[in-house]
Amino acid sequence: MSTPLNPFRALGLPERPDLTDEQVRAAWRSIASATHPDRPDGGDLARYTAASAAYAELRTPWGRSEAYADLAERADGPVTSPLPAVPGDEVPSVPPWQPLLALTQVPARIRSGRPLRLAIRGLIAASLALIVLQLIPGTPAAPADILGVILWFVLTGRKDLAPPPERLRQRPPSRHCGSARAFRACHVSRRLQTRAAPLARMPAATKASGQS
Amino acid sequence: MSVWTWLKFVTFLWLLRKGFKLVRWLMMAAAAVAAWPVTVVAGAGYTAAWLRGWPPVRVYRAAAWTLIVTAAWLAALEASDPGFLAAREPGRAWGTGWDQLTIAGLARTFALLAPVAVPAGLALAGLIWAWRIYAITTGIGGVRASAPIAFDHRQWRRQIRTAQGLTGAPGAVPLLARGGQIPIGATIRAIGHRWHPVLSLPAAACTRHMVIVGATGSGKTNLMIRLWAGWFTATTAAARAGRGDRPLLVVLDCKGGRDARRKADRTRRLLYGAGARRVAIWPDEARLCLWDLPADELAVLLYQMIDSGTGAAAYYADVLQAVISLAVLAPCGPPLSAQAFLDRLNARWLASAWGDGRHLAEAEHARAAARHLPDIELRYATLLRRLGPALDGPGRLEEADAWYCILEGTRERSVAEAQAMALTELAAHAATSLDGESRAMLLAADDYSAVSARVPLSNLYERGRSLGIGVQVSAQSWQGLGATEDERYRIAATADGGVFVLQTPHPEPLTALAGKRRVLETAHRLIGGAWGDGGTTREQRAWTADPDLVRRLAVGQACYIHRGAATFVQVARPRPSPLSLLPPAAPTVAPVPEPRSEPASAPDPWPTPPSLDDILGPEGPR
Repeated sequence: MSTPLNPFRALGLPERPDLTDEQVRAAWRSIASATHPDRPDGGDLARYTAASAAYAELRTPWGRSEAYADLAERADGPVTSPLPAVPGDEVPSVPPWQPLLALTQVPARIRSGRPLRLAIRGLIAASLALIVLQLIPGTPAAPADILGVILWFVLTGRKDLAPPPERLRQRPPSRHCGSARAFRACHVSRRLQTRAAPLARMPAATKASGQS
Repeated sequence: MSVWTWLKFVTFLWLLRKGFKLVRWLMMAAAAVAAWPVTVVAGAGYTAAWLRGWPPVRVYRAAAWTLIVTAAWLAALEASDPGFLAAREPGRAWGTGWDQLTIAGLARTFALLAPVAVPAGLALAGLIWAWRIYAITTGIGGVRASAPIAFDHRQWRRQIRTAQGLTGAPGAVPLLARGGQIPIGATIRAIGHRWHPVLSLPAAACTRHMVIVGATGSGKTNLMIRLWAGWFTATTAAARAGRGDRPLLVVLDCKGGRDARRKADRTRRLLYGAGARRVAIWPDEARLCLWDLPADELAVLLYQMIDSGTGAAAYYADVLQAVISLAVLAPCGPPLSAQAFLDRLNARWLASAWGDGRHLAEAEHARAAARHLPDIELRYATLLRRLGPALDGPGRLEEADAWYCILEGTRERSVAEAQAMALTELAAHAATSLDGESRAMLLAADDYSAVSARVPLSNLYERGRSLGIGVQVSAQSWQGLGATEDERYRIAATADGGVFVLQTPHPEPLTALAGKRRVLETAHRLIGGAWGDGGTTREQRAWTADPDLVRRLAVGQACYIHRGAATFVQVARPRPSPLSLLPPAAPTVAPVPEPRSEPASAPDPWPTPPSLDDILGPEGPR
């Protein structure tokens, strides 16, 4: 199963949950009038179909926030991760190598925190360490003093880092769906089924009026 | 004894006393100079504690951390020069330091002695600072009589400044700390509680009952959203680790209005960042189904939703209850929608439903109530119309991770009250339902006083306790907690998750929950305008959570009262980790087009302005 289409991208919209109805509708109209198959030049059926499906998904605020959450789940970037399991799924456990993964996030945490302050702290710590090495090279106190400087840097500098992500990166349990890709496909299809149930029960009048 | 002899004796005693004092000071000064590296560190530690309003424990902890350096130094010493003779090294370094009284020489000596001098100096600074606080607060220190007041005022300001600085640091107050703790904000002052730089509550505190009282604009919303997001994150993390159920957060915003929508959006963004997948905003974007309740609970709820009155109206109330029971508990099953329920409030329907020959008593009741049915039907039709379609389904609480329910308690109080009853009933049902996944639930009611006339808070608490649901209630004032003083005390006193008091004009009943503590009060004998040598000290009782301090709290500051102790805290604005968000959008994404009705000039293939109605027909999507 291929990765589901990004509905925001299909409508040429930024990936944000706070778009207005008007913005979504305007984007849809713009694409529909340019790609509709009834146009004299034949239009672009594939693009029109994709935009129609995306508009159906994004037309309500609820739908947009759902799509946004889906994107967060699907994102493969180094700092995002899947969302919790759908009801009925087994809750995946935290892998033992989680602390090591946390180390890989340190550069991103520095960038998103207060890098300038951290740099100043680092500069002070490095200067003190150099002074110690200059003053008492080769004595037993030198490594201890440098350790103290490092300790000070770590203890005071950690608050200048951005907090670690609340969502933990999880690996799919292999016994469910095999590979990571297959798991994601499985996961998305189950989610769609779960979501389809309440939508199916929704009265037609509600759908037409744009409420969910 | 002559007067002259007596005078000589008194003068001698005075000189002796002053002499001892002088010798003591000189000895201390000599010790301070001799152990100058320790003195330097102690001075620096004391000054830092004084300037930043730290409690002594903060300095002691710093001293404890530096013991790692001492341990490393001892290890290095042992490696370079095994045996006990190495213990002479600090003394030797100190001795040679006196031969090199230059800046470089002093710096070298300090660097050599730092592994010992720093922990010792910090511990000494903590002791001196603790003594200073004790002396000032008990009245045995200070120059002027107002010293305790001035000292406390100054330290309070410094503690706030330090707490605000810590709160502003990006990583100091995350949404979730180690061990499933929920960080609230930087500690300003802890009285009775153990001091930590950041006040953190265990997630379990949110699953009990918590009260939050604060005037409008005091930072109550920030605090509540932080608690919700923290609880949600902690419970989700615990569920992932296999230590509990998935969370289900139900928020009742009982005031409503535009602010409620903004709060809902903010809460939703935060919960998405915290790992929520579905955050439903009721009734704007999602619905719930009242008719999913079990038949007997539905019958009771429908009866309670109507104001039935007492006294002479009790007769009518009984009839109403009987009719509702007949309509809902009919053999064919409960109604599935509002319209189905209204259809049942009909004599013919009831007679047919109960007229199977096996329910003779109920059929008789239906006949007896027939003349009241049009009135009852009218009342329920009005009520259900006012409630709107949002409780008519489809939708269940279990389908989302969090529900933000907006009740228009300010605009339509009676409707909001009925909605609050229905929603709490649905939450109770979700908590006790055995046919679905078990969920850890937190029911938070913001400004519940707006709808509390029909559902007293104490009832909500008691139900929450019996069902295992955490209940969190906020009010704008002590009076907003309940209709009577008795009810208010019952609510506040049973808040075993703690009470947060923000700036409010009448905090005394809440601060009284923290009780009083024993303090020492010293009275000095005055000689003329100055203090004499004599005086007395006696034990007094003082507020643990000073109501005047609470009254003066600024925006975002709160006093957390729990188990007879209080912690003043600077609440940190809840923000999800920036790393939880999606990476920036790809640059290829086109900008958002502006809304437009029709193009100004039609392009050549389109002779007329393109209208989607022409393309899609009148039934096409809009």
